[in-house]
Parts: sequence; C-alpha cells; structure tokens
Amino acid sequence: MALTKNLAKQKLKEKKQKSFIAGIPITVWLFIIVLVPVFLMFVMSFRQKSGYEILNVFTISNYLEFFRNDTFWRLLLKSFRMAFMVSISAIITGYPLAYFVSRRLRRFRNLFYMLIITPLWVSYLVRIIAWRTILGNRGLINTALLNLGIIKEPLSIFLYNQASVVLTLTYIAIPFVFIPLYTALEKIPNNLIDAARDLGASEARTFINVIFPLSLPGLVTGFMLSFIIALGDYIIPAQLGGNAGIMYGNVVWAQFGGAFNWPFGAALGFILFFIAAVVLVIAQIFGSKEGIFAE
Amino acid sequence: MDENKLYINNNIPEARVTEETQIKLMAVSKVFQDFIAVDNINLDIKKGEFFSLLGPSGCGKTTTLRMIAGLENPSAGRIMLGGKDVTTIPAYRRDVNTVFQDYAIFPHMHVWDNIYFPLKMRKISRREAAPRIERMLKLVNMSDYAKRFSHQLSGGQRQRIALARALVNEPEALLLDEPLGALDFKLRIAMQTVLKDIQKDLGITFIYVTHDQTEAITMSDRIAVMRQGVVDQIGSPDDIYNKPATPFVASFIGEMNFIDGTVIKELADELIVKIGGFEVTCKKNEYNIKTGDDVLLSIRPEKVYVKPSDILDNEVKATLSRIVFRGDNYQVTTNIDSGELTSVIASKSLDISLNSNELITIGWNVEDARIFPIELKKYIINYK
Repeated sequence: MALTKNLAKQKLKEKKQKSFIAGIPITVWLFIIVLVPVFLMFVMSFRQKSGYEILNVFTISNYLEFFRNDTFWRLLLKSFRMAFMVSISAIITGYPLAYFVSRRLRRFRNLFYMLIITPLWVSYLVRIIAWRTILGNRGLINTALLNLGIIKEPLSIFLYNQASVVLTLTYIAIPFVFIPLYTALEKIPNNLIDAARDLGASEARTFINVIFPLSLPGLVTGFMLSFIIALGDYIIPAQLGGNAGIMYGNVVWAQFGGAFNWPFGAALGFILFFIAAVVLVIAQIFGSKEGIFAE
Repeated sequence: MDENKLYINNNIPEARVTEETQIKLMAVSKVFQDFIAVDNINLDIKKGEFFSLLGPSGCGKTTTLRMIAGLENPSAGRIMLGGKDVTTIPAYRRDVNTVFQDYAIFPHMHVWDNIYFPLKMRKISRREAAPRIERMLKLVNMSDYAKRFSHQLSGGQRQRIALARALVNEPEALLLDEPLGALDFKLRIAMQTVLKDIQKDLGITFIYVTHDQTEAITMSDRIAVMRQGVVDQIGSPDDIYNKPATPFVASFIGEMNFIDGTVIKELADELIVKIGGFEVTCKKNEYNIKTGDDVLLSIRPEKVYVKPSDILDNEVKATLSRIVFRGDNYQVTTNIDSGELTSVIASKSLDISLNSNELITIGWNVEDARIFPIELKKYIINYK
C-alpha cells in the first residue's frame, strides 16, 4: 500500500518535472518577447531627454508632466470614450451576427464564419485606405449622393472627425468581437434551450434568461479585445481623424517619432498600459461568472 | 454521501390511475429528412398513470416524448393534452414539463433559481414562489443545496433538481427522458423508488422513456414497447412479460427461448407443432396460424423444467450441453434437433447428478409457450 503510494508520488513528481521542462521554452519566449521590452520601457520612462540625448538619470518628471499638462489626460479620457464607443458599436453589430451564424445557420455556418473573419487576412493599412475611399470627397458615399441628386457639392462631413475614426475602428474590431461571441454561443448546449422552452420561456425570454447570460464570457472577451485595439490605435486617427479625431496613441507615437522624447513617450505609454490593465481586470472579474460550463 | 438519504414516503396512497384520458396521440408520425423516426403511432395515456415508452436506442421513443413536450413538431397526426388539441401549440405554452436525460440544469443559476425559473416564466414573484420552491426542495430532499451551482452537485443531485424544477409548476404530465441513464447501478435502483413514490404521492401522470426493461417493468402501470418507430405492444408489465405480442417484445424483455417448428395438426383451440422429432401442443392465439405453417415457439427459461417430477403438457428429450452457475440460479442449456433450449433452475433445487451429454427429459406447460409466424423471426433482438 505504502509502496504504491510512494510510486504514485514519484510518478506525480516526474510528471511535474516533465511539465516544468516543457514549460521552459514558452517562458523564455514570453520573457524575451514581452517582459524584457516592457521592463526596458519602464526604465526608459524614468530617464530624461536633454537636447538630442537621453540622460542616464532617474526622475519622475515625465510622469509629473502628464498630470501637470491637462492636454494629455484630457486626450486619454477622450481616447477611453472613443474606445468604449467602438467596443459598444462592435458588439451591437457583432452580437446579432454571431447569434445568427452560430445558432440559426446550419449548412452555410462555416462559410459565413470564414467570410466574417476574411478582413483579418487583408492588410490593416489597405482596409484603412478602403474606408478613406468610401468616406472621402470623391468617395463612394459622396459619389452616390451626387449621382442621386441629393447634394450638389461633395460633403466633407464623413471624413476627418471622431465619427470616422470610431466607424473605422468598429469595422476593424468586428471580427475580434465576433470570434469569442460565436464560440460562446455555439457552446451553449441545445438541451438548455429545450429546457427553457419546456419550462415556459418564449423565444425572447429564452434569449434574455438563458442564451444571453451564458454568452457573457464571450461578450466580455470581445469587449476587451476591441477595447484594446481601439485604445492603442494611432494609424486610424492619423489617417482618418484629422485634428478632431486625434487619439492618445498619436501623442505617444509622436514622442517616439518627431518629438524625439522617448522617456516621455515611455511614461505616456506606461500610464495607458496601467489604466487599461486595471479596466480589463475589472471587466474580467465582472465577466467571468462562476459556474458557467465548469465541469 | 447524500445519495443514501433518500426521500421516504411513509404514507403511500393507492395509485390514482383513472379511466380519464390525459394524453392522446392519434396517428402521429415524425420524419427527419429521409428517416422515419416515428411511424403512425397511437397512444392513450390515462390520468395519473405511470406510462413507459420502452425500446432499444433509435426506436423513436425520445422523439415521441419530444413531440408530446412540443419540442418536435409531428409530421402527421394529432396530439391531445387534457382533451385539447395541442399539436400546433409551442412547448412553452404546453402544460407538461420534461426531465432531460442530462438534466439540463442552467449552469449560470444556482439551484434555487433553477427551480424558480418556470415560476418566473409565469410571472410569479420570488416571494410568492419561495414556499413552493421550499416544498419542492424538501420533496427531493435537497433543502440544504439551494445556493449550490450545477457543477457543485453530483449526478444524482442534479437529477433531483431537474425533477423539482419540472414539478414545481404542477404540470398535467411529467415527461422523463431516460432520467436514470447516467447514474450508477445502486443509485439508479434507489432513484426508481424515489420517482415511483413521488408519482404516487402527487398523482401526476408520468411518461417515462427508457431502454432498460427492468426499470420499465418495476415502475410502470403500463408500457408501450417500441421498435423502429412503431409500437409493438401496449400493456401492463405482466402482459408484456407473460404475453408478448411479437417475437421482438418477447426477446427484448427478459430471457427467452426461441425454437423453430411446423404446425402439423389443428385442434379446437390448440395446435400440434413439430419441433425436432417431437410433437408438442401449443395454444392458438391472435395470429391466424394454420396447419402446415412454419412457426416460432417462444418460452421463458424459468418455465422450462428439467427432469420434471410432475407430468407436464409437453415433454421432449434433449441432450444436456452446459450448466452455468449464476448465483441464485443455474442456467441449464440443452440441445434438441431444431435448436437450443435453456432453463433456469433455482440453485438449491438443481439435481447435481446431471452429466454432460446425458439425454434428459425437459418439459413445459401449454400456457407458458407462445407461437408466432416464422416471418417475425427477423425482429428478434439478439445481443449475442
């Protein structure tokens, strides 16, 4: 008895060792790819720019500068607002889509799935330029309106504002909302739907009481993904935002580019990183309801 | 742990089976694409009855249940519930509830909310629902588990919550889809008693789907035996066991000997059948069997006597080929020219002087054997 127990213990130990060895490459990889750059950026954020030189000193002046100058935190607030709007609109569009494809379609389900995630295969920049040609002065919308005789002159209200940035970011975010929602919805066992109907729930009440709550983990994941994508983006605001559509990411990017103030850029980046992490942790806690499909 | 602490009913009333029809299926069929799942069946289920749909997997019993629940629309026929035609009424407006095979407990709600769900759908407030839910939890002996989630419960506990949830609305009928299928043997036996007690206590019609013949026989008032979408026989457990309507029913329930033979003479209400080199007497039955017809003779092993001391109606000589000890009984296999015959003999009464290849007398009484047309032989279920 004791012998078998010892044997089992040793087996478990071996197993643990094995899984430890198997875990080394991924740990090293994570360390090099993620932790080291983040740490270097963290160090950078405490240095100081002087002329065209980065001084090897320790200072928190970069962080103080963020709080001293209201431009930055106002911009950060605005970026949060925009990212929130992007996530909400991506969910409003993506949820019905995911629901329809995962629970209503039978034969063409995989085809639709592929079609919806196809944009991910196209270059990010190409998709942004595509939206410029849709929204621009000689773009799709203006040409259509001109040809229909609704307007005489091309309208410039479609481009270079917050709305165009939110619209394009939403478009970019839809597949990232769709995939986790699709997975969550598809995983809901049919017998739960049957049980709800059997126990007196109409289709609408089945959705409200059973399907929607069970899709919440997917919804939260989708929200977080689109939120991260929108919050950190600087290419779309630069391309389609004009002055009104500028976002926090543009300022960070400018510090590493034209302004050549890497320490300040790093500090700005770290502030974003920290606040976003807090928001995401809160969302995660809120979204991961206990008991869902735990077996 | 808690599985052993089962609901005990000290005061079992008489079964309240009435003559009033509760559920009626009239010429109901269900076709899936090119597969006929249910083929023109008629059922007449009485109020307060424990009615079982019994059959091997794929026989259409679950589809039939789902049609009664409203989860599946019949391709043809009508379904009546309490005198009303409900064929086109959706599931959520039918006054029947289902206990699903894998229980279908909502994973995002705790036990209390699961049982509250059907009441909530009827717009009953939580406060109003509370005493009813309490009573249900007590009924299934799960009062201490109100705040647990599905994944914190064992299979037997989930099963009881599913039962409480389906009963809280006091439906006209409770539909049970192999509810004990996923439980282990001992728990299954215990839960059979629980279910039967609750059914008697509440007087609600139970429609019980199972592939387990023992379960159906021990629990039901009546059983419908299904095969490939059709009902072969509807009757009491006693009828089903002792007067099987077809070789399929005969083979599906219990152990059965089948022997080929030919009718050689017709008497007033008996037939003389030749099996091997012997002539035996059989009762005429609903099959219109005539002289010269090939027949299939069926007889239960426990009705075949080895070396009988009394004179039996039919006696044949057979070669002993095998004796198997099975605990409380012996299975004795003997050979006659046209096949094998097994008998079951209580352990204590076996004559141990039997030798293998010995020629012995075996026999049975006329009323214990049944004959069927030989064409029905193909429906025999053979698990060997």
